[in-house]
Amino acid sequence: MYMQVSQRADSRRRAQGTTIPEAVVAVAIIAVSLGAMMTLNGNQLRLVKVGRDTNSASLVVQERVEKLRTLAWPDLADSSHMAESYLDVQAKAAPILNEVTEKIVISPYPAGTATPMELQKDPGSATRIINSGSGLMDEKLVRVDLTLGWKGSDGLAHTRAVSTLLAKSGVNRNDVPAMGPIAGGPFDAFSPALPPLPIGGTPPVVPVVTPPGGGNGNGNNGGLGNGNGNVNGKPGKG
Amino acid sequence: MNRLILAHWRSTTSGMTLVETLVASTIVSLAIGSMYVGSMALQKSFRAAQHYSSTHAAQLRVLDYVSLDLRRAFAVKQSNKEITMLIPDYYDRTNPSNIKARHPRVEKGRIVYGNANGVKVRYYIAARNDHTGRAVNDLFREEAGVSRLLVSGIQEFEPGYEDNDPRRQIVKTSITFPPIFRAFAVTDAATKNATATHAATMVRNKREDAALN
Repeated sequence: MYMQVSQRADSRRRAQGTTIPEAVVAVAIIAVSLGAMMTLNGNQLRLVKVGRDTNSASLVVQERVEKLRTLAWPDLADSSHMAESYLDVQAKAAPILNEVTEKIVISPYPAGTATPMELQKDPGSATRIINSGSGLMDEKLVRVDLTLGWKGSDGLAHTRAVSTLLAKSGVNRNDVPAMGPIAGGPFDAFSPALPPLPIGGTPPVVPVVTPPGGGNGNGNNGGLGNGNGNVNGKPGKG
Repeated sequence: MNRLILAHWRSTTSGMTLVETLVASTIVSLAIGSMYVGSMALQKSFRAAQHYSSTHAAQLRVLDYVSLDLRRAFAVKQSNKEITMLIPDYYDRTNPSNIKARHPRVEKGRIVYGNANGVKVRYYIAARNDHTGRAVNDLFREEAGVSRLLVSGIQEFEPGYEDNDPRRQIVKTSITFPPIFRAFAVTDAATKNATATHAATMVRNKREDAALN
């Protein structure tokens, strides 16, 4: 009989439920695990957003460079125009970014007597002209350094920068005739071709008429305008 | 003696009362329920983030396609969420298994490849319902009459010209997509803003847009 009582007491001890400290520890472990998973998820979402911000920043920089190439040379050399009509106009892909800072430096290339123009736009304020530059109007080639900074979703400061060269008669064909009227013209009405190159000679000089105040960026650019042809002031079609 | 032992055993191994059982089962139910809901939310969140990333990559890919074509186009026309352009006829596709790059020639003062009228390229969307019944769009690129699906399941494709650009030299393109998981209070407009990707491309060639009229 004593033996039976002793066995039952052992079985009781073995079959006891969890104590409160054991339960608390188990719950704490589960809570920490779940918390870790939630934190991991939060970090992952933040990384996705950081990646998206970075892509948007690259698109902003690309958009800025594309816009640069459409500027008339006098506008490019004018710090006030660059501040008010270029840098103060927000890029389409920029609103997604936080605390955007943009800085642009336009300097002669290769370095010459002209002094660089330096502009900076800080978040929530108009563009500051740090250095208005001088002599850029007479340059044939400039180097543009564009730097974009923003505060990422991870709380860190990020930067994208690009450098490019712009020629006075570069991609947008400033000063080059026969680039056509506004938004194109009749398909078969090709503008007159440039005179043929004399064999063994030097390329013909394209006549340039400099109007007072330079080009206006709207079809009738008078020589230093927007690359839309009509160098001699012929109004655009279309 | 036996009775005494049994009584002692009963007194020390008494079960839980009904109230204790109810409270314990409620707590366990809440704990298991919250774990289930939490794990489901986590899974949804991971899936949504994966979808967001892959769709964003698709957006960039499509914008790269459009930008490539715009950079070489000599005529551009955009209307009603589609964009049409003419690009030079760079390739000889007479034999599809042996496509050859053409040499340029000068014709009427301009550089021409193959057919002087160029090749028409069009980006357009076609509406459909996805497997959940949501209205989405598929974006296609059509070249010389042959359409190819570029990306499926987007929300909007909006080409347009930059403001204050009378020459329409810069073409802007934006693409949005419907996220598969979002908070209840988020509006469609907010979703559109949060998923929009924008690109701007300068049309470099002399414009002959009248050819598209």
